[in-house]
Amino acid sequence: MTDHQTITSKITVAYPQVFSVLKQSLDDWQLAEDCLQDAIEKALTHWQEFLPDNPNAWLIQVARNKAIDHYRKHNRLQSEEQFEFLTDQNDISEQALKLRYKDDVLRLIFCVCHPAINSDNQIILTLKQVMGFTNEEIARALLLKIKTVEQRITRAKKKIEVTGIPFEVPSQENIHLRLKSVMTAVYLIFNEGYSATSGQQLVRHDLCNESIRLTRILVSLIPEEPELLGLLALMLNIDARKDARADKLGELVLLEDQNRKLWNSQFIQEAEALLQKAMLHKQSGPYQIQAAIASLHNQANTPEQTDWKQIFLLYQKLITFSPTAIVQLNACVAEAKAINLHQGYEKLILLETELASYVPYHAAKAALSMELGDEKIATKSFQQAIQLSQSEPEISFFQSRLKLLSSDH
Amino acid sequence: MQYLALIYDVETERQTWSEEQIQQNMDEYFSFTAETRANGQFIAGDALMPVATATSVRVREGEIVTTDGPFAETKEQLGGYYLLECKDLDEAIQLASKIPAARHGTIEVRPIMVLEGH
Repeated sequence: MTDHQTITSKITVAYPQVFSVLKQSLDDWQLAEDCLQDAIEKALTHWQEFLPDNPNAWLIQVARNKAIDHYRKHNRLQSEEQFEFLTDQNDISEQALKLRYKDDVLRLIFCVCHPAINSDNQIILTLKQVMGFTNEEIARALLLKIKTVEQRITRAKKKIEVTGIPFEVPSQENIHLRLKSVMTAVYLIFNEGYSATSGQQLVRHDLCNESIRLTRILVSLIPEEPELLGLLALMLNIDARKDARADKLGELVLLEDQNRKLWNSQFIQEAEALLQKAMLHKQSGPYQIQAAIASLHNQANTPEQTDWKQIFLLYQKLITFSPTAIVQLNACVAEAKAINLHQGYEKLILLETELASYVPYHAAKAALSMELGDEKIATKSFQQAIQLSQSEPEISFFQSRLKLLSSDH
Repeated sequence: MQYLALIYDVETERQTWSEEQIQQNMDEYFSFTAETRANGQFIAGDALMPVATATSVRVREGEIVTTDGPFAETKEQLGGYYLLECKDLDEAIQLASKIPAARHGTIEVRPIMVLEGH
């Protein structure tokens, strides 16, 4: 008897290739999805007794039978390609599937993350078609109504179909550009999971695990792309702290107050190795820089040992890639720590209009004001952060800081 | 598939160009047209007269109502188009990026709707 969790994880692993093969062979997105759904339902019961050696082929075979039923019922003519697939002329042996795995998975992910699709919809399609989430799971994970998820999926699929977004691995000259939007989508999914509020923590942590898993697959398929290595290193470095970022009561713990023994040293080491490998390419980029910054935090045994000078330099470099106010905010904090508290604070204030509704801005302003001994401004900034925040653990964290401030008097 | 590439840019900006700039721009369009024609991608393409020559036409309650000017006042104006035959959206994007105005304006790429049975 195989347990439910083993079965679902086998299905999740098989999902992208199986869907990709079906979509490509049937040339019909909806039919591919319906047939795969049917195969998955059968797998959930059959695999309890008998787990196939080649789950991908099993799912393809069962889905294919379903497609044949469909065509019989509707008496539709098939293209030669469909015919070959349906009459079992397609090789789905383990070896054949292994050989085409790379193209199958890349074809799919590059299609659903095509830059012509808006990024919210890229995320939803990636969760559904590549990571195998159900609509309900997507709705829960992204805090959306199921109806909204369904609508967005329909709209995005229509865009793919109608605008002629290719279901192909991009050409060598295009792959670099296209990879950028894939990386953005995957990192956004990771961040969705990481910024989870307490109530949804469990479901949403799946988003982190699954985006790391997908990035590992991408790294294995495109090993020569330094930014992809950087992205994986960044995720591992951030995820390494997940057990330390909340206390037993679920309250948020700041990086400097975290119990560093709880950090996942295996992830930290792996991230470091990935980063070293990426740097051999001598092609810097925003993910590698962010990963290096996270690495410097993770390498310090105590907060005092943090190499803020190096972090400040890295943020300055990051600004050249993405000159956003948020990156500038981080650079200001690093400057305050590394060079001069006043100087960093003065520069931070200049970002006020642009970041007026950005919670971390007020949190950073409060923290620096406290260090400067200006409790009045610190109090006001914490209050603003509380007002703007929508995350419960975050709000209760700011409230505890406020209490600390008032008890000092 | 057929795609319409709609060429938008700031008309008044173009009016400040020097003789040489205008000539160079024309040459670039000529060579884009020649290249797409040679590759079998060109179906049609034209530049439009300035937006000041636009007339908007509506029929309301059976009456023709015309107004002077374009349908919408926008920062960038429609200045021309290409109708292109491409394998897929990626090829259309590649081509659109080579239209000279892509460097200072915006090219909107839209697939042509295929009506079944026609």
